[in-house]
Amino acid sequence: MTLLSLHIRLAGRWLREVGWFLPVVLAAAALAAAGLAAVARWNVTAALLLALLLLVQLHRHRRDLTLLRTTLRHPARTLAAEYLLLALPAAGVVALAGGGSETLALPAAAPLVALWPRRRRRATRPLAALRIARTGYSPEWTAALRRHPAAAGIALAATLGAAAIPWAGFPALCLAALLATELYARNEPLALLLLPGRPAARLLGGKLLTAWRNLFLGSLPAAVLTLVLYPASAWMAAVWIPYAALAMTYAVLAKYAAYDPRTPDAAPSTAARIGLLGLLLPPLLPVTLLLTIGYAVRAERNLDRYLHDYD
Amino acid sequence: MITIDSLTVRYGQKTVLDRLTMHLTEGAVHGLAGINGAGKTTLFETLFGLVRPAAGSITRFGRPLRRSQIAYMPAESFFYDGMTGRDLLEMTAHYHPGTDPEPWIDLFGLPADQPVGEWSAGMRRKLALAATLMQRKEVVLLDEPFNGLDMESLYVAQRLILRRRQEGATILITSHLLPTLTPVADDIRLLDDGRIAAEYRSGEYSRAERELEALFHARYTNLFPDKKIN
Repeated sequence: MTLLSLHIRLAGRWLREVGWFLPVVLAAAALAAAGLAAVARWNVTAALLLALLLLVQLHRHRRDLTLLRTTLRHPARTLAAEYLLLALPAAGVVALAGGGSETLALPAAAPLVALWPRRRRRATRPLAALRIARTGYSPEWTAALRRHPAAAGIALAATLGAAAIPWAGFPALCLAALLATELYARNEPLALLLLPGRPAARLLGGKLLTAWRNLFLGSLPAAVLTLVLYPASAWMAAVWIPYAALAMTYAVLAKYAAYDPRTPDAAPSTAARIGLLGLLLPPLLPVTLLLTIGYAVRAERNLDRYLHDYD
Repeated sequence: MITIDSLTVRYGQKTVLDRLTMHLTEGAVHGLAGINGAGKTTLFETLFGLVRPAAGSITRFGRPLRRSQIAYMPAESFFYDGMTGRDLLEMTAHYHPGTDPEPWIDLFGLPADQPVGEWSAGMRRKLALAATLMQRKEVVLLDEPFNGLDMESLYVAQRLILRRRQEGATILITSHLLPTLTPVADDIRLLDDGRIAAEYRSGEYSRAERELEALFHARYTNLFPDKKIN
């Protein structure tokens, strides 16, 4: 079996899994293509660079690189061909949006992404002042802030910057809440889950309250700045607060509905991803709400397996 | 006394623990040795309530053993990438008031402020052991606590276990290596194929080692016909 045929088989399996959510997925893909086309109409070079940047990020963060390098005879060549294939649709979109011969630069540069150096684990310098007590004893928030202090700083700076732009403050905070759902992507070890010694409902309640606490505390500076600079946008807080709370609730419940301590890097299910889409596309919001309720029931039942004594 | 009576655990068609019966005296260190796949981890998961047995009971002083009475160290420990050792021990101290994390950090010489993701496997094991012993529960289950420990850390770990025993805890330790258990255990049971195959008291351990070697020699006599390995 070649890598290409493996990818095709996995794609087919994924399409079957997506099922009747396929129109949503296609709509999201169309939206992404439209976005790229819009950037291309504004500046072709910027669109090409954006597409190339996405390819680089894919290469840097893909998890199968070690497997490919130890399995394939010529991994660099195979990866180069793969990235060329991936670049062609993006190049097509840019070309249709009015890009001329410079569009060819993307398929020409895409194979070189395979030579991008592998992301090495840098010696991290955890924030010395960040004791776990400050995050409400949340291992998720503590680990993430220690692992990505720059990203946290940029997010804070971006929300503060957006607060200075009329009507942009609270939408930026909504986006920050959406990004914060990434904190609940990994499964913590069972030992951490059992540490509080609480039953499932209380544990979930505690996790939710901690998530809201940390998110709203982190958002407080930008929210206050927005209200001070643009008091007329205060009504947007009435949208932001429930939106952010829903995003965190969804993230926590979706995680524990599928929690399995044997898989620390569990990828979210397609349904879970589509539920997140509902936070971006208002017509899908009812789907998110329904999934949240479903996940609440499933999360408690799932955690009972790990938290309750068998009598 | 912790009584495990006719405990049976099945995974599908496979019987992992087969009518296992043990009586564990309070305030002692009980060793459980066995080869890989003997059922040691399954026994611990059943004791801790993570696995529902098909039959049998686990009682302490006549009442079902509750998870709230047990501090459990699983065989494999991993941590959130980005957490430091100090985070874990402070979290443990938060949920178990009255415990101080600092002495534990000094005891094992752990680089407490570095992310655990950068630690070696042995250092992570020490951290997991510290976090478990900190909890001061009446029953302590340690699944392969000595894996990956260097000689000095093994000495410290064994002394800490003995100290917990002196404080009155009932400790059950598994290992696939008999020599790591003999310095600390008051008794050692050999688990084989889901059952207790043999039981030895302190002072009988050299006999245990001889009997194990004879058992393995009998199993592998076709592959290794020479009795001694030079």
